[in-house]
Amino acid sequence: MGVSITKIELTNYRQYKKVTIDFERNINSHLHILKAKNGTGKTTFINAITWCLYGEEKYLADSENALNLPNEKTVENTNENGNVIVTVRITMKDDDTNQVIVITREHKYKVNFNIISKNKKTMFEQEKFNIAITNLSNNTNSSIIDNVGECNQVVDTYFNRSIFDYYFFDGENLKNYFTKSKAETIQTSIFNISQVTLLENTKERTNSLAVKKSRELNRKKPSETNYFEEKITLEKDIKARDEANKKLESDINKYIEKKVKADEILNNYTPIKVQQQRKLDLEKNLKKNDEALVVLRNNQYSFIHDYMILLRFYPRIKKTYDMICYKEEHNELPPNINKKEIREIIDNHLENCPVCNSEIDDKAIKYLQDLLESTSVSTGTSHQLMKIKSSLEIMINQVSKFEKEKENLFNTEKFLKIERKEVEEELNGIHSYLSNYSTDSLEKDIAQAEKDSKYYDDKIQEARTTISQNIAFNKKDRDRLNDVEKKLKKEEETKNAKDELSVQVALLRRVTTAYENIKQRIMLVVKDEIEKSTWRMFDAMIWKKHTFKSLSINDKYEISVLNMNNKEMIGSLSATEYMALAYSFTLAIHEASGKNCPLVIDSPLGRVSDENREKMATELLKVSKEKQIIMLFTPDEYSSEVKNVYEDTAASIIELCLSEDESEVEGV
Amino acid sequence: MSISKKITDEITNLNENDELKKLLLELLNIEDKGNHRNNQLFENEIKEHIKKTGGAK
Repeated sequence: MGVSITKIELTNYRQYKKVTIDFERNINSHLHILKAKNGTGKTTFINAITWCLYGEEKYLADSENALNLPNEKTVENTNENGNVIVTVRITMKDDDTNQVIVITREHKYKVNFNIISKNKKTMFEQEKFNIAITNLSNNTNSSIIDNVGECNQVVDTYFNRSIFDYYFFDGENLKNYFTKSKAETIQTSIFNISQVTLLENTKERTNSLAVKKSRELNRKKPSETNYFEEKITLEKDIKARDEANKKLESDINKYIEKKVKADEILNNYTPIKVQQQRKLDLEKNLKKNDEALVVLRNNQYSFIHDYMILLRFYPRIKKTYDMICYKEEHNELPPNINKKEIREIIDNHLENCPVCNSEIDDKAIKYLQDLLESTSVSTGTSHQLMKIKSSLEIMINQVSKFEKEKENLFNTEKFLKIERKEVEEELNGIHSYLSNYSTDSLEKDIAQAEKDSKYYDDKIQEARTTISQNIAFNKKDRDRLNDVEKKLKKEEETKNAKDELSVQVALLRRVTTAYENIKQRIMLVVKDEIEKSTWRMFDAMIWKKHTFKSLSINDKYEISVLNMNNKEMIGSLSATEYMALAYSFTLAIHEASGKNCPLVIDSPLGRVSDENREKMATELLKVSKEKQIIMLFTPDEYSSEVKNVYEDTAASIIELCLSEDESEVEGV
Repeated sequence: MSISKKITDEITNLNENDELKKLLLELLNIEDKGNHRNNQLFENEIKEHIKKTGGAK
């Protein structure tokens, strides 16, 4: 069946002090009629519904100069500083979801006393808005929604606020239903209720994501460096150097072997070389010995020459010397004095001795005078003898050294001869040893061995240097290879990310296209449905059968009604035709929304002439078999023609009456 | 609000594989819930779909 209002409870809402109206369908229809005289509270009843749903009294003539919301009588009966609670609660049943939805809006007011006007006034304090949803299928507890946004969302699901007047229909004000500004609102609302807007928003989101991902993809540029080629080159170089080093290690072993052989040869020749060197040293020693012997021979000649004369005259020299010594010992020789000098000291009375500078006193003068008198012999002979004595002493001393010098010379000669003999013997031995080897071959072999040893030594050094260089290069290259491999890994990650992004972009574009196609299809289908449905109902409601040919709705949801000559008639429609069109279009929109929601109509047939009133009432009755319709009539409007149609078929007919003091709706 | 039958019918009739149809419905449901993290949720769904299907049609 769809959605229906099962109960509306009004508490302290304007003239509805405490009213509850139930709307239960009967077997014939889901049509409910509320009859009330003008001013009783028909429009207030619709306002109570819109206030509950939207928080606004949509049909209030002048909200600024209207009475306050709380029921006047209740306010009067409330003490000062007391509270008045205004509540409207709508209970609905959704057959599609098998849910009961209870929408409650409540305003709390504080009552004050105005001293000047001597009246009680109310002051708004607090609003409560909540929706309780009970799922009848699983018997679970009600879920309460008290968030305003979520509550509004639920309300819009059933009674989209932007097209509220297509749910709460004002039969007296039909001109607004087909204005251009209205068309735009209708289009927006239809898109909302048929979820075209949802499709568009989803499409926009997938599209913007595709654009974002595509930009992200374009930012991921491929690397300009060919790391893969560099990696291959590095690996090749490293491998080549490793292999070269292996070969060099092997070469080094070979060179070591060859060097060992060359060194062995050199080691074998070492004693010969030592002997050769020894031979040279000995030959030098022999030469020195020869020179020393020549010097010795000369010394010997000089010795013989010197001592031959001295030794020949030695006896005479000795005798002369002894004799002089004897004379000297026996004072037979005059003193060696200078008479002339003594005389001069005496004659001149010199104070100091010219020889020893000692003081010459009278005693010294006396001694000198005595010495002159006692010295009778000439001192010249004595002086000569002393001279000879000296020379003789030298000669005698020289002769005394003869034996020692002779022995020294003999010893030197003996030493040199022994030394010469030893050197000659050793040289003979070396000559004998070396005579076993050919000199030419020996020199050649040693030279070759030395050359080989040096050559292989150089080769080993060279190979080791190359190995070290290769190791150093490989270390550098391995570090670089490590970096390159990291970069390659990063590149691979980037490539994978790019691939993933590409797939995402492709998918998002595919999804965007799908949504666009679905949206276009839905828009077309919905418009087509509304168009067909509007025409079907309009054609059924209108008594003229030869005037109207067709009805069309453009993409902007502007309606055209064409006559049989295909001429536009929308501006020329009568009030009845206009109302029929409004009903048809409204019901078509209800159909398109996918929710079969109630339709509340104030003055449903007010603008319809008598002859069409019955026909239209009948058509609305047909609609009410599948859809809940609540109609609000004045007694005049609820004419006999209408009564005939609805009296036995309507699910409920309720008459609203005011109390005697006209302060509240009393009879229901 | 649940996705209307018209839309689910259109999606069902699309010449696409079942996984993509599920994805189309799922994204609509996310958008319908009006979550401020929609972009992130969309991306998650897209990635999940690619993971399941490999991204191929």
